Amino acid sequence: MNDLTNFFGYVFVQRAFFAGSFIAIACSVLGVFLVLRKMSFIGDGLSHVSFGSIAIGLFLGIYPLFVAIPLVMLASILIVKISQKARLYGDAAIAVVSSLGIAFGVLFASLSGGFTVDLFSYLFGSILAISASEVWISVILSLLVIGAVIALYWDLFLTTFDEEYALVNGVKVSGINIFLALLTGITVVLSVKVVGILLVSALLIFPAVSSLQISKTFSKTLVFSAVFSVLSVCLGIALSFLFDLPSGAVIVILLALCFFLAFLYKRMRNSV
Amino acid sequence: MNMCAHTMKAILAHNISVHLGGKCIVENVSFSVNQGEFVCITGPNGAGKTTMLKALLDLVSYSSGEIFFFGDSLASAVHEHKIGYLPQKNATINQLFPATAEEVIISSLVSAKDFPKQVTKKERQLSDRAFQMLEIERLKQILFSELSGGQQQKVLLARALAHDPKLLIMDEPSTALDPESREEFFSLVKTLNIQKGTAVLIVTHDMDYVGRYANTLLVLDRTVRYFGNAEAYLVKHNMTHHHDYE
Repeated sequence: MNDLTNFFGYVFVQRAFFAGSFIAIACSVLGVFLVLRKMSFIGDGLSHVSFGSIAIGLFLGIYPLFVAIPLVMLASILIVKISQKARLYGDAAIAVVSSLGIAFGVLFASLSGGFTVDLFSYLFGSILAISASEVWISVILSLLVIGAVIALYWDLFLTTFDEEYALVNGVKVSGINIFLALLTGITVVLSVKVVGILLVSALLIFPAVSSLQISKTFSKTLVFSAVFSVLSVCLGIALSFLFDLPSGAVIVILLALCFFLAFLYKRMRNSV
Repeated sequence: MNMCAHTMKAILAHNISVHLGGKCIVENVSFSVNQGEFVCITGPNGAGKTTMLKALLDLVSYSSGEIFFFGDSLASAVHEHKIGYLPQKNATINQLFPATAEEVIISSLVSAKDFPKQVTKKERQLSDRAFQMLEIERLKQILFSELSGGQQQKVLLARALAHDPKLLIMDEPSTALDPESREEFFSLVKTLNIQKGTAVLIVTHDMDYVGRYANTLLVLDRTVRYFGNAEAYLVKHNMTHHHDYE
């Protein structure tokens, strides 16, 4: 009990819970749209671009997230444009941009003298080491993403459910698609701090697919997705601190557990 | 073109040509749909029927010609909620999307609004009225993906009609329906056409239903093969009930 009181008393733990919860909500909400649009791998692709961008930032001595946010947003637009203009499927466009991101990452990591401790912390996440300024950046950008999804909720809903009808209904579909890609770019960079580059797509995809197992309306899908995400992130932070485990990996394992439980619940419900 | 004449027509398409991948799919097609008229577009597979419909709705671009809706542009007609659209079944709909039938209709009503796009009492009332009109209130809270083909089509028709449009455009709406649901569906559309004066433009292969419900027929095979009275065409070509174009 005393351990637990001490645990919540640490400022770095409070920061991790605060920033982690906001990032978790932004990721989970956006993830639902990505999964339903068959764009699950965009998170993975953009995380590779964030690897390249962070390596560039470390090489140039600039705060890596300041380099990563604009470059990853640019890459997200590039993915949308390549799939439109080059008439490629989305997954091929993601693969093109993603491999370029890794290539730049390896190149600049090598120019910086190999894989440093800094770069490793971005690869595997370090939410417990989040600084005060990073907390505020994360909270502000997460609120921006959540606010944008709320403001464009029905346009996002209709373009995801029936894109052709949305066009006929006067929705600016291409604008919505680019906006969604930009929001995904921001979210991916934020997730890097929580679970690391290698596990970013888990934070976007797992809550959504878990929620889709059990939800009966779209609004509930978003709510359940956020609940799964926040629970996994907060519990993951606590367990990783108490048992001295890597936080990113623990969070992803908890997210997978949520999916498994939601899947079992659905099977049981359907068999009754 | 004379703008006064345009305002009388729900649709006025003049010399429309569509080229896709260097191939001419639709060539110099002209036709019109009067307000309150029931027009069927028919023709063999690959005749350009769906392409023509998509050109009307700006879903594919046309290389030449002019299209007016109620004497104005498509954008203006859409903004004034004058057009209801029922796409080809399963063509574009995401079947895994966890939306209730009510959310499907509300999304159409709210996304057509100007910002801020929030659900108000008005959208709820319009949605309820659409469910009542088609007598499908019991489906409101059911997931769209869990409905039968016929029920889904009714929900999509309710979505198209929720704004009380002056023109209803439908692309092969009866393809996924069994004969009984098909009969019910066409009968419902005809009732709306007569009672509310809603103009109807429908792409279909069902010549049986064309004969019974349409005033006017447009036979398309890249160009216009026939445009005029539906019954006269059917009599002339000895096409009666239970006869598909194919």
